[in-house]
Order: sequence, then structure tokens, then C-alpha cells
Amino acid sequence: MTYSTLPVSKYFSQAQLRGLIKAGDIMLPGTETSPAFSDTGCIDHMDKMAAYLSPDDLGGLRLLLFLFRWTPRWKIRLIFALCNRSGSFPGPLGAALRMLEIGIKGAVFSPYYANLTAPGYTGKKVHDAIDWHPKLVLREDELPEKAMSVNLEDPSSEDITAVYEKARAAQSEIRDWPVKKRVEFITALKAVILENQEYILDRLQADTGKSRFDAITAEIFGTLDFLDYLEKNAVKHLGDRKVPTPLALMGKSSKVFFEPLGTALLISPWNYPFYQAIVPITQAFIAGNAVVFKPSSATPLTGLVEELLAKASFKPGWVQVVYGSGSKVGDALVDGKPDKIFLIGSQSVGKHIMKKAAEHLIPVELELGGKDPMVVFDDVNIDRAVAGAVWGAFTTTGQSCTSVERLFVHENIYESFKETLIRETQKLVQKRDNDGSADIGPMCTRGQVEAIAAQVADAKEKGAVFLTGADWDGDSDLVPPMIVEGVTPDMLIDQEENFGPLLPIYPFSSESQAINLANDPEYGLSASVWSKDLKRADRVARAIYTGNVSINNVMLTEGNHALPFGGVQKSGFGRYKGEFGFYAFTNIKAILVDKDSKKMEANWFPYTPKKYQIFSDLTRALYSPKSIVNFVKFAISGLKLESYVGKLAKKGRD
Amino acid sequence: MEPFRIFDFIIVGAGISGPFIADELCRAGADCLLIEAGKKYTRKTYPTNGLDGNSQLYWSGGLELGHDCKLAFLRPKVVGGGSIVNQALVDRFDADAWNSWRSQSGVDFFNVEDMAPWYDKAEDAIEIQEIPAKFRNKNAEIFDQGFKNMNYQNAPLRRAQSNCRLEEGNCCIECLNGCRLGSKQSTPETVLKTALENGLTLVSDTEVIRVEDNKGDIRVLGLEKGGGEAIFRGRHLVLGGGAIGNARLLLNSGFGKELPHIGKGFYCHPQFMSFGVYDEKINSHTGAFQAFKSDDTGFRKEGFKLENVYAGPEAIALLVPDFGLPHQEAMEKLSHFACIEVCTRDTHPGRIKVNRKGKALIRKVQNEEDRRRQDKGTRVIENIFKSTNAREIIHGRFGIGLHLMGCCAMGTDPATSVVSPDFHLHGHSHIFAADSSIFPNAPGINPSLTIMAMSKRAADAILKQTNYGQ
Ligand SMILES: Cc1cc2nc3c(=O)[nH]c(=O)nc-3n(C[C@H](O)[C@H](O)[C@H](O)COP(=O)(O)OP(=O)(O)OC[C@H]3O[C@@H](n4cnc5c(N)ncnc54)[C@H](O)[C@@H]3O)c2cc1C
Repeated sequence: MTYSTLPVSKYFSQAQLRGLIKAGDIMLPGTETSPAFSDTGCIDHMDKMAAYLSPDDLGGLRLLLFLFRWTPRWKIRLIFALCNRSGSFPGPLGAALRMLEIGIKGAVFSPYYANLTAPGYTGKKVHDAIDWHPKLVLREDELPEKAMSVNLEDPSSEDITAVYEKARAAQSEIRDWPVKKRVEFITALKAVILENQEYILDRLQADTGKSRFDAITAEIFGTLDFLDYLEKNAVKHLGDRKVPTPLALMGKSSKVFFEPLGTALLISPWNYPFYQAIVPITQAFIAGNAVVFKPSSATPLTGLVEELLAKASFKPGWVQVVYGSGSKVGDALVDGKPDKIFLIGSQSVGKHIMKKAAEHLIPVELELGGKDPMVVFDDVNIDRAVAGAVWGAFTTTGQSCTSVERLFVHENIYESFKETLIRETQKLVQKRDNDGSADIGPMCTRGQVEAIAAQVADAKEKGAVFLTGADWDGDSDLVPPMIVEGVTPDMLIDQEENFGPLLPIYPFSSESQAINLANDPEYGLSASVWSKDLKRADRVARAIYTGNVSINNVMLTEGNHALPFGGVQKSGFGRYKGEFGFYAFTNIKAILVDKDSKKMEANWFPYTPKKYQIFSDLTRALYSPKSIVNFVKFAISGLKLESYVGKLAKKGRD
Repeated sequence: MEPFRIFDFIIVGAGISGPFIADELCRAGADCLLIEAGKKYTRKTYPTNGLDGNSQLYWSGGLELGHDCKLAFLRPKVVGGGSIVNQALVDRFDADAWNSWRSQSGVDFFNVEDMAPWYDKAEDAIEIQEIPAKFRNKNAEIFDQGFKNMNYQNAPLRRAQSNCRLEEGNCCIECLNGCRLGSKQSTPETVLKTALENGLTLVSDTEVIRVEDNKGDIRVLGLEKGGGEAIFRGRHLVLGGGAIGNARLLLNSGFGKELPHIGKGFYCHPQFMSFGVYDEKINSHTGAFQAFKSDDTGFRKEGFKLENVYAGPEAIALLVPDFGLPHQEAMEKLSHFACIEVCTRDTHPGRIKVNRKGKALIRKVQNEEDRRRQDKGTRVIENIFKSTNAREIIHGRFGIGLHLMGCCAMGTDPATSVVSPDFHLHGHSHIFAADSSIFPNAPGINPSLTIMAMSKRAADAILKQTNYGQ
């Protein structure tokens, strides 16, 4: 394997890295037994070394590498040959050759012989080539802090303190990095996920049972797409920003810094355990926060996230994964006083966490459930709208927070829409698969099967009609997709969020009625509006009170990582992903820069009647409608004020 | 640090001497602050590869070069200093070393008898073990066999270690980046630990860049890792920054005029490694990688000693000559390398100066006599390798200085020394030093145990002079 992509380095330009690769491969060309310098990708680790060099040494090395970049190979070889004979050259020349020899050997040999490689390197390791295998048998309590996972069935307050202490210590390392440097880890993580895709899918299916296709699209593709977005946009949105400084503050400048908050506690649910792990983790990390992550105990993917992060060279304390039951561990983690809590989960957990967080005044961001409507007008292509409804309601067996849970169809097309909907739903293949052949899989947890069973029994008892899936026994975890008609407000299925393949369908007759129905009194996560008339669709999209609306598509705002995501009402608050997502984990700091000087400010003491008069003239001139006269008046009072303030400073109150 | 806090003692440098002195001062009840430029690691956080080890545990990211780039210097920068990265070989000085110190410095207590109780105390503070014969590796056997073949005397090594669990197959070479077993008796495992228990304040990641002595009002200016400055105040100052560290700090603080000997008299026991390449595997890196030292009166007279040593592949690669294929093929035979080093007792002093930016410049040449000592030793090594059927012998490209000594020599005469026999700077009764910087010349013996003993003695003297804990 040839390692062709150069890392992004904080200390070396791409030209300098190319110079290093060139010199490195002349010095270590590779043999049958040993890899060549460039093959190992050990160049990825140059920054770790450069960080500790003195400015002089680093400057010298950078110059040398830059020169190597543009020096023909034969000349570099000649220079090395001269180094070999430095002893025969007098004073300064010999010294210069020796310095060059030690400098370049240090730079090339240290990462190479330290056995370092690029992530995903599969070739022969250098320590195997030179048979270097010193052994150190460490006891449990002597193991280096590698394992990031902390398993806390019954955590003591000391355990929690230790987690946060570690996070805070680790955060001091990453907080001052330029964003660019953190992006390197995102890039590495992307590569690691891509490489381990099949393994991740196996683990995901084992924990969730979801179909392999659902898993690859939502969890792998979605995650990679998000990381890609971070890679391309983080520097732009998190870099220091200049903002305008008004005329009245002439001579000063203003900036905004986007700084990390500290340690972020992230709590994720069981429905998308991989995506909902990596996305918030990296969103928080990219801003410079350390992360304490608690996955759902139903789908912990034990060890997976840590393993992948470690492969991408994340250090232990940057991200710690804490396992355990939500009620015990979640509470204890909140009491550990993180600097921000980000929860994706249910309303009840959201309320509980927010209440706990309120005790410590910890800012929270909640992404809770929804009861998402789909509104279909009578001018749509029925086949497409139906296909959208079937996917939107039943993907991941209906266990998404943005699943379609209420389908409103215009009365003009209601019957034909319903017929097609039933037909298409019956075509779905439901089974446990490992090859991508199932449309939907089983439910993820027993608890969810029971919750759905209760809703179904209640609906049946109160007279709802099950157009599909009526024969489900209420027990099998292969809960079939169920289209339900005749749902009334007294049924659980109308009141509660449902996390399963249940789709109530309702007719409507006017735009205003559709809007009224779509606007749930409690929830407000996502919605979709379907109509050929884009003006109408736009009108309805504005009128629906939710965080996200897809027009003529379903669950698709999440498909674009440049868009924010979040809800209103009891679906939560705050936004993550997209430009606004960067701000979820940042302290947006205002900076105003003035110069040190003798100058006093007009609004500082002492106050005098004369100053009052000039200031009031200035205010009037500045904020009256713009005209040349007013500008001149402003300029005159400005000058007057300045000279008067100067006089006051020198001579005091008159 | 609380503003306006005044410590009884500020100690600069948490290497070997600093913590040994701090321990005694804290025990006596003094309020002490220890400031260290390097980072504090624990057994669980030491670097685990050579690149991280070199860059994170030493000044300047690994090696520092002398002005002619013939010698490379390794200067530890970490809480624990040399005791974290060194080989932990502990030897008492012999009469010859003390005599030469005494005649150079005029200091009376530089003799075996006067120092013996202080050595005893130092040895009580740490555990010392001899490597049992059954754990000697093949490199050690070659060393031993060669000595027998050539009729030289050697002796087993004494090491500051408590339990390396060699029977489990542990390889002590791993501990050159910090001993993850907690066996090596580094100061953080020993005296620093007790000092902290007795109330010592430790500030790491802070480099002292200036000290001022206003007679009993000591001001110390620190540069924090993040780039900020910090001011510390104390009644007394103890310098434990090592030879180069102390010289640099004192010169940058303007003491050079008053004490012209600062920076002069720099010694480093230049060491030169040679490798014998054998047909069979030697695996010099395994087990207790050092077991013997030379103990030959002839060698001592000639001014060198031989050590049975080894180093990590990053270091050996620097020493193995050539570039390209020949280099790589040589390194592929690494497991067939045996290694012996000649450590010379250098006679020609070097000098540390500082440039305008405050950086230490090392000027150190080997004069003819020193080169002769090196050559003599190298010839002996060649003979040992030959007598044990080495197929090839490789001499390291350059010499290494790791016993950095002198620059603030102790002596009775302020014109030719910096520190008085009472361990304070001449003319500054509030500033003390007892570390490797006060060595008057090169003893030709591993320095660390003597640094510990001198520090014990110094702490006693300091407590008496400053009336603490009496
Ligand atoms: C690889 C290696 C192997 C060795 N092997 C042996 C051996 O086997 N046996 C032996 O006896 N000796 C050995 N030595 C030598 C021995 O370790 C040193 O002689 C000894 O550590 C010196 O002790 P010290 O207290 O004088 O200084 P050091 O241990 O060097 O400590 C000085 C400390 O002061 C800090 N410092 C310096 N300047 C400042 C400043 N301005 N501000 C803040 N902090 C500062 C430094 O960072 C450092 O941590 C070895 C050395 C090395 C490098």
C-alpha cells in the first residue's frame, strides 16, 4: 500500500511534507523485509514531534524540507554522501553537514522506527521488520489510559468525578488548537469508518436488528456525509470572525471567537445508535469540547465507538463512553456538572434531565420525539407520494423520531391513495437479513414491542380499522407495518408518539383544515407537504409549527447536513448540524479591541453640563436621517467632544 | 498561586536534586514550591513510543547539539528529570573521584569518609537491586565473556529499582520513556511523593526564565506552557535545573558578571556506542538490558569505562552510519546487535553560554587527551567483540552527552567556582544548589547517586543556615 495522501499539518506546508517524503524514501527506500518510509504513513505523526521542537530547530527543519522538495534526487543523494564524510571537512562546513545529518535523520527515523503508521495501514510494521519486541507485562491497574470506555452499572460519585476530571484534563489539550487541526481527526475518522464499514454494520445489526440497507443508508452514509460536511465547513464557521465597528467607536475593532464550552455530556437513544453517537460527538469535538457520551443501554454497541475513535488517533480523554442504565448513570453524569448537555431521546427523559440540569444551571439542548404529519394535496403524483409515505412511515420499522406518524390526504384522492398505499405496503419484505434483502427488520427492543401492542389493542377496542397488519399477534418483534383508519382523539395512538410501524391515515377537505390538523398541540419536529403547486406548499410549510419541513419529499431535511435540525414545543429546542449546529457547543465570545493610549473615552467620568450638551448634539446628528448636513454636524460635535475630553483629562473639571 | 504568597523555599527543577532537597525541607516543616518546566506524568501516562518519548521528555524535542555538532546532548525535561529517563545505575564515587574534586575545589568534605553517611541516607531513600545472574541477557553475556577473554575486570550493576518482575519477561528498555511498572526509583516514585505528602506545592509545565535576589526577597519569573508569565516569591531559592539549566538561568538573570565562572567547567562523560553484529540473534533489548559495568583499575587509570548498554531503535538508527539501502539492511539485523559503550572521563571542560534570545549554547570539544581515552576504550570494545566472534563492528556516528555536569562548580574561591562549600552561591546566602551543576570536574562514575547524597547533605546545611525546623 502506498500512502499517497499527505496529512494536514499544523507545522509543515504540503511542499515541506513532500520534501520529507522524498528525503525519507531516499533514506528508507524499503527492502523486501522493511517498508519504505512513505509506505508506512508515519508522516502523519510529524506534528507530534514538531510540537516540541524549539522555534529555531523547527525553522531549520522546515527550510531543509522545503529545499528537498525542489532539489533533484541525485543532488539529495550527493548531500547525504557528503554527510557521511563530514569528518573530512573543516570546522563550520563539517558542523553544518553533521547538523543536517542529525536533523534529517531525526525527522525521518523517529516516526519510522517508533513504529508509527497511518490509520488503516495494513503493511508490515517496522518493528516486525527489525524484530523489535520488548515486552512489558502490565497488571490491570498499570495499563496505560487507553480504554476510553467506562462501565458504570452503579456509579459512585468518585467514578463520575474521575470521568469529568479526565475530560477536563484532556480538553486542555484540544481547546487551543486551531480548528484545522481538529479537522484532521475528523478526516482520519472518516477513513476509519469507511474501512470498517462491514464490521460496523455487523455490530449495528446485532444490536438493533434493523435491516442492513436501513443501516447502511442512515447510519453509515449519513455519518460519513456529516463528517464530510464538518471537514469542509468547520474552519469557515468556527474561525475567528471580524464584525463591523460603528463610527462612534472609531479606532477600535471587533471580533467574535468561537470557543469550546468545556465538557459536553451527550445522551443518545437506541434507534440510530451509530449515527447518533458519531454525529453529536464530532459536532462537540470539532468545537474543542471534550465529550462524555452515554449510549442507550438497549443498543450500546459496546466498545465500537471507542475502537474507531482510537484508530483515528483520538486520545483517551477526548471522548469517553460511559455505559450503564439511563436512570442511574444519566442522572449521575448530569450531577457531574458538564458544561453542556445534549440529549436525543424521549419527552419524559428530556423533562427529567432538564429538571436535573436546572439545579446546576447547565444549558441543555433537547432533541425529542415528534408526531410528524404528512400532508398530501390532490394535485400530486399518487404513486410517488405513496412511495414516500411508505418509506417515511416504515423505514427502520417506524422507529425514527421523524417517522411519518399521521398521514393527511385530500378527500379528492383519498380512496385511490389509500388503495395504492395498502398495495405498496403489502409488498414490503420484512425479515432478519444480513445481505441487504430486507426492507424492514424487527423492532429493536422488547419495550417498544409492548408499547406498540398496547396502542394497537387500545385502537382496536375503540373501533379503529387496521387496513394492513391486522393479524399481528401483539408479541412477535417482527411488528408488521400497520395502516390504520378511523383513528379518534380518544385513542392512545392519536395521543402518544409511536415508535413503530403504525400509520394512521385521515382525510381533509381544505388547506386551513390540513394546517390545523397538522399542527399538533404538543409536538413540532418535522413535517412534509406534498403538492405540485409550490406556492401552496410554501404557504403550508410556513404555517406548520415544526422545526423542519420537507416539500414533496419526506424526512429529507436530515439528508442535507448543511441544514439545521431540531424541534419546537415538546419536540425539544436548540439546533444541531449545519452552520447553526456549530454554535450548539460553542461559547460565542465577543471581543472588542482598543489600543493602550492616553486617550479617555467621552462616556467616562467626569460628566459636565458642557459635555452633556456636546454629546446630545452628537447623538442627534448621528441618528437623524442621513444627510450631508447631519454628517458635518456629527463630525463637528465629534471633534469638539474629543478635544473637550482631552482637556478634561489634562486639566480636570472646569 | 495565591497572590502575595511568599514561600520559604522556591526550588527550580524537579529532577533528582530538586525533589531530594524539597523532601528534606518539607519534612522540616518549611513551605516549599517546586517549579518544573516539564510535564508531570504518571505510570499510566508515560509516552509509549520512541517518538513521543524523545519529544515529550527532553528539552528541544530530543537532542541538543554542541557548537561543532560532534556531540549530541540529552537533557531531560519532565517532573522527575533524569530519574525518569535514565538507566538508574547507582554508584558511589571512589577515592580517586573525590580526590580530584577536592584538589580542584579546595572543599574538604569531598572524601570517601565524609560522604559515606550521606550516601547511606541517599541509599535509604530508594530501593537498590543487583540484576540477578539468571536475568542477564545475551548482550550481557557477550560483555562478560569478552571481559573474561581479555582478562579485564567487570562487576554486576546496581540499579535503583524495586521490582521489575523480570521473571515475567519484562524488558527494562521500555522504561527509558518512564517506568510504567513503577519499579524504577524515580523521584516521583520516591522522595517527590513524600514531599508532596508533606505539603510541597508542585507547579509543572512552567519554565523559570529569571530569578532575582533582593536579599531575602526572591522573585522568580516563570513562563507557563500557554505562553503566560507567572511571578513567584520566596525567602530562599534552590537551583536544581541541572548543569545547563542552572547555568542558563543564572546567566539569563544577570549573575554572570558577578560570578564569572558560571557556565564554565562543563563536563558530560562523552559516550560512544559501538555495535558488534553476530550471526546469531542477540536480542539486546530484552530483559534487564544492562547487567554489567567495567570494574577494571586499568581502565580507570586510562580515564574511561565500558558499559553494557542498549537504546531504542530510533536512537540506534541515528548512530548507524549511512543512508538508503545500506542503512536499512544494517537495521534489519538489529536483533543481531550486541552493544558496548565507552564512557570517557573528560578532562577538557566545555562552556555554556546564552545567546540574545536566552537559548543555551553548548561549546564542548574533546581535546587530544579526551579523544585518546575514547580511542583506547573503543579499541578494547573492538577486541571484546572480536574475541566473541562478531562478524562486523559498527561504530556510532557521534558521541552522546547524558551526564551533564558542572557550570556552577563548587569551590572555596569565588574566582574559580560558583557555589560555596555551604551550598550557596558565592555572595548570595539565599540561593543554593546541590545538583549536577556543582560538579567541579568529571568523576568518570555515574553521577546520580552522588547527586542524591550531595542533595541530602545540602538540605541539612540549608536547614541549619536558614534556621528552619530547628
Ligand atoms: C538517558 C540517560 C541515562 C542516564 N543514565 C544514568 C545512569 O544510569 N546512572 C546515573 O547515575 N546517571 C545517569 N544519567 C544521568 C543522570 O540522570 C543525571 O545526571 C541526573 O538526572 C542529574 O540530576 P539533576 O537533578 O542535576 O538534573 P536533572 O535530573 O536533569 O533535572 C533537572 C530538571 O530541572 C528542570 N529545569 C531545568 N531548567 C529549568 C528551568 N529554568 N525552569 C524549570 N525547570 C527547569 C529540567 O526540566 C529537569 O527536569 C542518565 C541520563 C540520561 C539522560
